[in-house]
Amino acid sequence: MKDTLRRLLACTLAGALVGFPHTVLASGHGPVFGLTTPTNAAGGWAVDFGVMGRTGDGENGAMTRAMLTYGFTEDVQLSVSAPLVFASAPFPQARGTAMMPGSGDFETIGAWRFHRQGTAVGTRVESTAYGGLIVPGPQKPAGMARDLRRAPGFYSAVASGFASRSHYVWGGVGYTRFVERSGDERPDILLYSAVWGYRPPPLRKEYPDWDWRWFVEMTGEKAGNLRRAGLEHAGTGGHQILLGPTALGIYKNYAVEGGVQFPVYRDVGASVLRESVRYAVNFSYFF
Amino acid sequence: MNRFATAVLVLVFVVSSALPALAQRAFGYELKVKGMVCAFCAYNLSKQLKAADGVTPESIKVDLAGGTVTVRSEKPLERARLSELVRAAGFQLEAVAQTVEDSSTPAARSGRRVLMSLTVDGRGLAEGEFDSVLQAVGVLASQRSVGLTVVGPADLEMRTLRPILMGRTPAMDAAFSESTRSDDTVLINVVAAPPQGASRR
Repeated sequence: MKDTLRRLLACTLAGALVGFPHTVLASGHGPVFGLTTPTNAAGGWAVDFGVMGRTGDGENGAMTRAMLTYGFTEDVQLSVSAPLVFASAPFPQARGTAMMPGSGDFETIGAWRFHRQGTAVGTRVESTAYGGLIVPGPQKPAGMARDLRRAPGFYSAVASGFASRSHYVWGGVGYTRFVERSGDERPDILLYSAVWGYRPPPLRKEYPDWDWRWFVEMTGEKAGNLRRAGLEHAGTGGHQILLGPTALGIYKNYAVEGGVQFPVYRDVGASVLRESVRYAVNFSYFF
Repeated sequence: MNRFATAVLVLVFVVSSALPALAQRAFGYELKVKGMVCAFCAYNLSKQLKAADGVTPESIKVDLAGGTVTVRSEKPLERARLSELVRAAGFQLEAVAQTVEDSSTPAARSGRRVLMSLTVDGRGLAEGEFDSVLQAVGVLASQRSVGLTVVGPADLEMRTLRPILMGRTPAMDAAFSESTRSDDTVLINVVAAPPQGASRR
């Protein structure tokens, strides 16, 4: 246990390799699946409600998640989210979407935008670091992970990007690691993503008209094998790269976003299902 | 003339005399903001500005393409305060331009940009201490395509305008409105030329 905690602390301090797909849904201008940089104002609140799922090999996993976010300052915010799983399937351990992971865990995520610069009228570059805590919920996952003694997990990540009236670009990397409990340990997850967004000229409307933009999102997830009673179970992890289109619409202080992703590279173990498509829809209210 | 007609005339005179004193002064600002890219940015900034004391919420207009925000306030807003509000929304304030609006003066009502602003002690003005300064303002205003708005106590109207306007040709765009303040301060603004088609006094 002590060794595990020491390793976790080292990973967190090392920085960029602990990860979480992030506050997409409370960002106000972000993608659905990939890492991004949030923009809650000082004293601003956001409520998100999302539905997401994965299908493949004749099975389907689906869930919903609610999240509450508060901006302590224009650069620091905190989010807490709670899940409700409708159906679970033995896919590889994955993050799913940014701030709304596809699991039955409760989560709290802190975000610190440590770099922000308006480079010109209508453009800016910014970078954000994330850190958070995962707490297992009462609903158990499917497959071999069902009977695992689940323990809390930790994560950190970093994302950096460029935003303008016409184009958006983000890149990021993150890592999730779970604590071992009585020899059981959920798989760790390395996440990396790249997102490109575009707002075509006809959609560059002025506030408070509807503000739409489109994204192409690529996410890569490399999940380790789970451990039970101290033994690593081969074939329970995998590496996938997914690609797909998403869209975000904002009207005053309401937002809706959603999209799909398809695997373009897949190398998963024999004990987990092969995912065919991933989807997510989210509604946000800022106040 | 019967008593009723007299009373009506007196009432009309009193009301029309009081109208300038009831005139609302408003301060307009155009902010140049860096970093706004989307509707959520506009919402955040509007929300911060609405929280400022005196700001008229419905006056806030965000131009994302131009990177500007216009806002009107019943009270003057310091640049530092505006910068703080913009920063709290997550952006950077690059520049501020101010206009002074007053519904009793046609020139000010147009919300023209203030090029130069003088605040003068009315009592010193009454004693002629600032005549040379006012004459210089008149020279400046008559040589450029600008206008003048003067706001101050009613009894200082002629005392203020005479050194500014005396002998100036061609006719200048100048307007006086009575101040709602309780002191003797006189505010003289040299404002930019009106937009095409606007009428001059």
